[in-house]
Amino acid sequence: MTTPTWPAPELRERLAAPRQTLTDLMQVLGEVEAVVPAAQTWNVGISANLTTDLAAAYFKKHAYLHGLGCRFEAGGYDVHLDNVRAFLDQGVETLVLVHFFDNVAPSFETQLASLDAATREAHLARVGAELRLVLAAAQPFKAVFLLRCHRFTPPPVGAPDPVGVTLAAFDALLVELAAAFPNVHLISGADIVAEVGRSQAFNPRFYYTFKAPYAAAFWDELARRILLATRGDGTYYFKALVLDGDNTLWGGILGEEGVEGVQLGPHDYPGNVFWVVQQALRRLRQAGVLLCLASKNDPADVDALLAGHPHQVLRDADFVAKKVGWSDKATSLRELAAELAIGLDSFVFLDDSAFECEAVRTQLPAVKVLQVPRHVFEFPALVQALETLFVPAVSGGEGSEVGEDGEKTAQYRQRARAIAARADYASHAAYLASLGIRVALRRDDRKQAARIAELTQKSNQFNLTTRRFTEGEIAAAMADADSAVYALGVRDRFGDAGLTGVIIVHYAGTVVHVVCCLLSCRVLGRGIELAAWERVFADARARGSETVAAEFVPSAKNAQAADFYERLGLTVVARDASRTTYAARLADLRAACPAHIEVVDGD
Amino acid sequence: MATEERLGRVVATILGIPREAVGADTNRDTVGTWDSLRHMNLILALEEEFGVTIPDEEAAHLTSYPLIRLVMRELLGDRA
Repeated sequence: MTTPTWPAPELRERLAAPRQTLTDLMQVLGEVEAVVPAAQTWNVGISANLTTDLAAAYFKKHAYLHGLGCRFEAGGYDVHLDNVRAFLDQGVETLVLVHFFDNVAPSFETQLASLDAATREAHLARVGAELRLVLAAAQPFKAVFLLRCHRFTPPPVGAPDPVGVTLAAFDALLVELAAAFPNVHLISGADIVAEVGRSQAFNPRFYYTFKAPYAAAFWDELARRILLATRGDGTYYFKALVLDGDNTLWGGILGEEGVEGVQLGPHDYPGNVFWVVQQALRRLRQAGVLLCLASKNDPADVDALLAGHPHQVLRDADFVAKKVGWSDKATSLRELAAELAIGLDSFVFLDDSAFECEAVRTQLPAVKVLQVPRHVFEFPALVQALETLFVPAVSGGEGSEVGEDGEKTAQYRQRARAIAARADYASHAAYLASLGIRVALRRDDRKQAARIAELTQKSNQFNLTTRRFTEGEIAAAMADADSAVYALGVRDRFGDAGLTGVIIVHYAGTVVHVVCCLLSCRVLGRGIELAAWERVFADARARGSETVAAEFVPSAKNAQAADFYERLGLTVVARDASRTTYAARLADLRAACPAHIEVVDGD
Repeated sequence: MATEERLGRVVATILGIPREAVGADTNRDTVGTWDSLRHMNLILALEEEFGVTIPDEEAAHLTSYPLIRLVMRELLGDRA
């Protein structure tokens, strides 16, 4: 995330101040709200079986720190279903759902010891049934954050723990419910209490007087986590992590100490720190983060270390691209951006040298720069926190499946190899023809809904409207007779790029509206954006459509798609700063697929 | 900052009213935003600002700015 320009740095600093008083926070919130509004607003609502009066200040704080405006709705006390309905009317997009375990019934935890099993189970069944209804009604939200339950009373010391047993059963129920709905993400309440400490998390006075058990520190941490989990409501999303070598991936200077001399391994300090850092980095790679190496070293030394060091965790195949040599880091980053065809604002750069970090910060402000901590034992915590910058869970939240992203490194490597091969061809056209590109077109394939939603969430450069869809919305459009969802799978002789393009249309009368048109940046520059329209328009004609309508909505990143509809043969109807609308008669459109691409139905 | 000024800032900020509107007439009847939940935040903020604990029986009676001023002076004693 490049640091947002809103709000102003002085206000941002006061917002972020540690342990600020409520008055100080409210005052700075007021000052932020008094200046021009943010470009994008986060619409969030909270529904709880509690009083949540204090929550608003902290959700606003973290939204503002992410450069987002915030509209916060607090629902009524313990009426989740009513709240959900009201929120949907009010335009809330993100729902925070809190069901405080101790308030399942008055002081439930204390009561539990004396309740018989049947009564305990009846309570759980009642709450479970209610939450199931609530989550079902909450499917239209972009995201629902469900707080996993945690205890209010401390666990007994050396005595039976009836609360722990029932709480575990209740928590398992929440996890099961969440798994049934793709837009529901779990947040660990117990971990927040552990993070801020029991005495800071709860305020018994206001719990017993106003049913407001959570103190400021709890809301602060909950809001912080939710904003991170949404990646600032989708305003940032890093894809690649560029790593330095010396004193970042391993301890010491490879050029001086040699492969055997660098500090790296599970048993000795500080080699164990670098070893655990590499373990964490490998996990990021498996989750779909593109790892790159940018090291000022002799390439032969680095290759020898990657291949031969017994405790090197990351091997050559874990890096999607390497820049080893004597170029400065900014140049290496520029080259990596070109090679992988992703924007510099998708890069995180990690280096131990203050000089290199500052150089990149100054020359490439779009890159997020992180420096290895001075105390090397603090390094693993920094790397473990990195995942909050990358790869939002598409569904399921904590512990969710990674899906196709795990294959990303292999796919980007294919692309990089293809770029290297391009140099050998006389002309670009001959090169394209040599690729043997095959586009597999599928219409309304429910199995692909999750991956399609994921693509709409993440594609920026070739995305005509930058509309984000949830899996539920995609599934609904597939089921709707007046809509069609086309998915493009792309493969060539270098390999299978997977599902990389989406077109969604809506039929209304004799007009077919293009609602979404996007292509993953992995397959840009090959004419694939033109491949599917012959079929899309043929389907529309078969349904009796006579004209096609489409629009281009400019964003910070999609300038390269600005003239796409004109290239497709559509005519501009209206243009202003926020959008350009297009139309054409279907009878006039040819929309031929480029000759170097073969389009097939299905696989 | 003098006690009076700090008190005024807390009350104005938490109740969401202009600083200059806080005075002798500021009470739960004249300030629409001053409901029981806002009152909870006000007690919290006063305790935080001045490092004191306001007993429940006092908290319930802090229904106007003059009363808040009086009780805080008592709680703060010589520090005010």
